Amino acid sequence: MVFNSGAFLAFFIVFFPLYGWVCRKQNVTIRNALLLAGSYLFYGWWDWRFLGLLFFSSTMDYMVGLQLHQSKHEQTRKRWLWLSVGLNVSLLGFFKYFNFFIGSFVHLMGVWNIPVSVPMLHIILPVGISFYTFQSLSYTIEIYRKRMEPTRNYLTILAYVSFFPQLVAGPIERAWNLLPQFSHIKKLSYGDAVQGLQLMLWGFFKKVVIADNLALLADAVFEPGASFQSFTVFIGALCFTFQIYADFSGYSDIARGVARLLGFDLMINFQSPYFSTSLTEFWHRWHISLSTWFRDYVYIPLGGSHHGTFATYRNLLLTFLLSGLWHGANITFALWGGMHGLLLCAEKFTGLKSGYKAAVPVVLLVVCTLWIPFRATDIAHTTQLFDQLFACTFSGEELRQLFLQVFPALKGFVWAITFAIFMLIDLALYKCQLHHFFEQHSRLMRFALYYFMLLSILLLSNLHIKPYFIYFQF
Amino acid sequence: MRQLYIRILIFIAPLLVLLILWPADERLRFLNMKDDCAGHAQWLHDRIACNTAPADIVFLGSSHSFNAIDDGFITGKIGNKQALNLGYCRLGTNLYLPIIRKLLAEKNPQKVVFEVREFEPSYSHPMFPYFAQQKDVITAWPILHPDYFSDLYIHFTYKTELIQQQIFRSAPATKISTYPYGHVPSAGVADSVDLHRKVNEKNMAMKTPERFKSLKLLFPAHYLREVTALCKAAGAEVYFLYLPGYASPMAEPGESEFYRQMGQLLIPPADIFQEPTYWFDEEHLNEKGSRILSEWLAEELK
Repeated sequence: MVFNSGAFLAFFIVFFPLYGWVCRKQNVTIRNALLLAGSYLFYGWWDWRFLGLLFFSSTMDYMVGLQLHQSKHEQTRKRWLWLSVGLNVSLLGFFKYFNFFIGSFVHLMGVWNIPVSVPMLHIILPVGISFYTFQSLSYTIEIYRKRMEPTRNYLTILAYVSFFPQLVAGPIERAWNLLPQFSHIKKLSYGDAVQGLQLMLWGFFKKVVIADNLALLADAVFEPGASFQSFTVFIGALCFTFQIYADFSGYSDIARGVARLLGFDLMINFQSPYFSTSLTEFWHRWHISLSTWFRDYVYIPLGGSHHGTFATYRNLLLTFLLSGLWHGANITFALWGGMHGLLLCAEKFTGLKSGYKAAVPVVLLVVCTLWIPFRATDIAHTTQLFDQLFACTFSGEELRQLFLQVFPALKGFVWAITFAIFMLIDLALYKCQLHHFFEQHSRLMRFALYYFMLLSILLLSNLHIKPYFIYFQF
Repeated sequence: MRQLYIRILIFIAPLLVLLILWPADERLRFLNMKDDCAGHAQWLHDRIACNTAPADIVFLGSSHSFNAIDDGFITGKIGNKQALNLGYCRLGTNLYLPIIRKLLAEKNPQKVVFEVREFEPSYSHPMFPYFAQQKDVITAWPILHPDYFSDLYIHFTYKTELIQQQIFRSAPATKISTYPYGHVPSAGVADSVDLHRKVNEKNMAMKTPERFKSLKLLFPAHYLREVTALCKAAGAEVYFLYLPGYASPMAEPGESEFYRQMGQLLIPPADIFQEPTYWFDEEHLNEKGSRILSEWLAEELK
């Protein structure tokens, strides 16, 4: 089920009042049971066969969590931890990377002229597996580190791992933040409800108005085999840059808004990353839940920056390579992650500091260029795109024709104004949260902004496109 | 919580009102229907609303009808009346309602012939939310209409697209179709072995327990009553034409008594449905079969 679909609308219209009624009874067990049922329905709507996987992952980590807490010997505790890590990573590895590694192995053998025949399996990638396995792992790792105690309530763990607002595309919550929220029922205040609705409206606006319209241009430019002038490729890359941001941050905001309506606080996942003044700052503002997960569970355990310069660069590079690979079983993702890692090392090496506003367009340009391998289908496609980009050719007419194919003239003009307003709001959110931004304005201005977003959704949405979110493929 | 719901409703009310009251362009509505039957919806609109040729004998049904009934041939055979085949692919009795409303608003048919089959389909036509006027979608039977909410959703999201096209003038320009007939001939003859295999499978699946028959009829019967009442109020005679598939085991429709209460039931000669060379596939007559049926129809409807 995706947020911008009729199915979710129907689901939430029924679920929310029922949830509110259950919460008024102040019975946590029934509330969690309802959340679990709703979450499994939400996930099972895509494919009920993979509910078993979700259940297995949750159950396994529940049992491991209890064992970790009971075991006193460090060696035993480590074994339990590695069991959890091993099983979760194996699940992820099998569903996501099996064919990739088999294919890479066969290719490598081919390079050495060793014929190998290994069957490729037709494996369906379960939606959200990259997110919920990491969230589940966070639980066992934090218990191992003795930062929290395990829950003895099985229902709580099941509900925590499957919590539907953030199940399929994050934010990847930390157990110490989200799990305790399942132990009590927070009374929904009017203010909380308004904040939740603001987040949802802003999220839908970003997804439906900004991301889905930019996708039309970006998809045309990134079509494999398509050939465009450099400037068109650059504009296509720029479109994808903002598409992926609006798409993913839009999803995160809708997730946070829905969770807020249910009385839960999820972490902020994006904070105006394209106004960053350095790549380091960018990674403090982009997909925060994932980057902090990798920082806390990969970078720091590897040694972080505490074992000398070489080790720091090595740890940084490894972390970003893994982070790239997390996105998908394709060498282009590793390339994307690796290049970010290298540039971050370069920033550290040169001692470049954040804070110079003039650096904002430079950072944006770098990030935009690095999105090219991320979006490309394979290395050959990446090479082709970079060749076109660095050929330094320009055709305004080509770009104009492409633009008109996608946007009728008047719609394009209206959309451009809407995009400018979106960027202004995003700039305002660089230093504050959404509800603070709205509180700073008069009631009239707030409602004007609400209606602006709603009307934009009504007039600029592409309803003939099947609803999807980019990060569902991860 | 109640206060929250009320405030949300008040907040979205202006946009809902705008969406409901906005007058969608009628022709545009028929131009861009998703999953349209090869542009047939546009032709249907143009033939009824833009083409001044009369429509004295009108046939409504599924792709069975638009393959089986040669309205051009019937017009020539009868001579003084214009026949019109308004068949549209896929099944769903409720689609008759928006088409009949449109037809009666623009033309004065003397005879209206509805296709019927072994059993009435008990589900909504997938194109109903596109064809139907807003009030017909909103007031459609929620209780026995299994797709009521999805029809509402489809109707209003489609209307939103139409509003966007109207405001941004982004709909592609298309010429008005002037072709007067709706018959879509199917050339070719079905493979006889394949035909018999599919017919056996279909006949096996056709058995409906008696206790469910009246329940399954409730939804389509509601629409049949409504369209026949509209036709009679406009002075048109109502007929039901039985068009089963190849080698159907049923000589008459399962609900023949029901049809006879509302109009005349026309049952073509059984040999049309038994002769394999008349069939394109197990559901559709080919050109030869269509000509035979149309000759018979022309005699019945003179």
